[in-house]
Amino acid sequence: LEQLRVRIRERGRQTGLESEGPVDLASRDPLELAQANELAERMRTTLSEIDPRQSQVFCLTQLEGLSYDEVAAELGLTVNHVGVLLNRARTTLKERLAAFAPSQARENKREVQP
Amino acid sequence: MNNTPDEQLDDLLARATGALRDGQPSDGPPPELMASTIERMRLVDSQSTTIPVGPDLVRLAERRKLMFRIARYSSAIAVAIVVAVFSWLFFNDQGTPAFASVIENVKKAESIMLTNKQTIGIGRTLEMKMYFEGKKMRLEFPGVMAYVADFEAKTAYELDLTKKVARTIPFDAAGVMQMPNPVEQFRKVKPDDARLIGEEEIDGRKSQLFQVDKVDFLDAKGQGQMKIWVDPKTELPVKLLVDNPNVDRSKRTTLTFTDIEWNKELDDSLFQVPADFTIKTAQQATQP
Repeated sequence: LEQLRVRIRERGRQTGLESEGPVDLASRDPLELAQANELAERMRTTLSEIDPRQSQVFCLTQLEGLSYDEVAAELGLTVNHVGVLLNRARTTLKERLAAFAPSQARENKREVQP
Repeated sequence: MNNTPDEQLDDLLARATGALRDGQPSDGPPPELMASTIERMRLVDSQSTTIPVGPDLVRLAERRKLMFRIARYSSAIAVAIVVAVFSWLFFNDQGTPAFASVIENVKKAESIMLTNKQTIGIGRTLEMKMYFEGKKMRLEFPGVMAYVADFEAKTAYELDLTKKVARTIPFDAAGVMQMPNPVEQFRKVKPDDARLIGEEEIDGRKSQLFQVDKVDFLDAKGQGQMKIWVDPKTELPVKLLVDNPNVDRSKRTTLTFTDIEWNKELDDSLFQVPADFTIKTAQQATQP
């Protein structure tokens, strides 16, 4: 996560704020904003709890937009291993986030769990 | 829109990833506030219907539903208590001589504005503003939601102040808001013991304190107690407290009415649906 923060800061310096475009928070539904904040908070907590390698791969590919090759080079892994770790990370994250899902998906998760 | 559970979870993960990527970190509410909110929900739900309480409470949609349920329950309590309090003031002819003019002044009152605080157990408080003028009423949880009702026109709305949505409330629907006919309610209440018990300072001003025992409100079944602080200059109540001393403090509901302002000119807009609100019927409002 610390690596991610450093990368985001660096990206901000390179691209400048204006390239991101203005974020009009006032136009967004407060409930929607609250849900997004809560989801983000849960995601942040979960990423700090799961296997660090899976977390790193997920952050670099999904948040940073790095390719499998770049992540493999960054972390000293094979490309296949990056794919496996990412898949595991996604599975774990979905399980942990299931409480936020619509009831049908949540029930389904309960059924498959031992 | 995704339909299968797996697709829903994929969509959820995508939203969570997007939220983390685009959003700012939030510390969220203090843990103490979260704990007290959940405890409050448990208490309310134990008195109404059984709602599962647990980790799912973090889901905002359900939390919002519970909040609305609390508000409805609270407004019903508040209306019942206000009616009971003022019915006693209106119709009790057995008051002390000093209290007779208070009763007369209350009868003449054209409007009332006050703050209602409901304390559930120790340290959990829900606060709302209340406005009454003629046959109109407004109950408001500041910045969150409000109810407006016109007893003459027989219209009532629930206002979601955050989403700017007004939901119609069937005026005669039982269990929704339970807005009683004040006059009928006034006639039912017959407290039989009122006395002057002393003097106290309220907001730096001396007031006379009256106590009414054996008040019948909600589940108190004649065991309730009401205290009324009266400003001797205006001869109008400045504070009211409704309590049930026979119930353990950790489970007791206490209602306090403060910041009472009599005969203040209230803006008509307080009792109306704001022009920029979307009006939905009860059926529309329950649809996703």
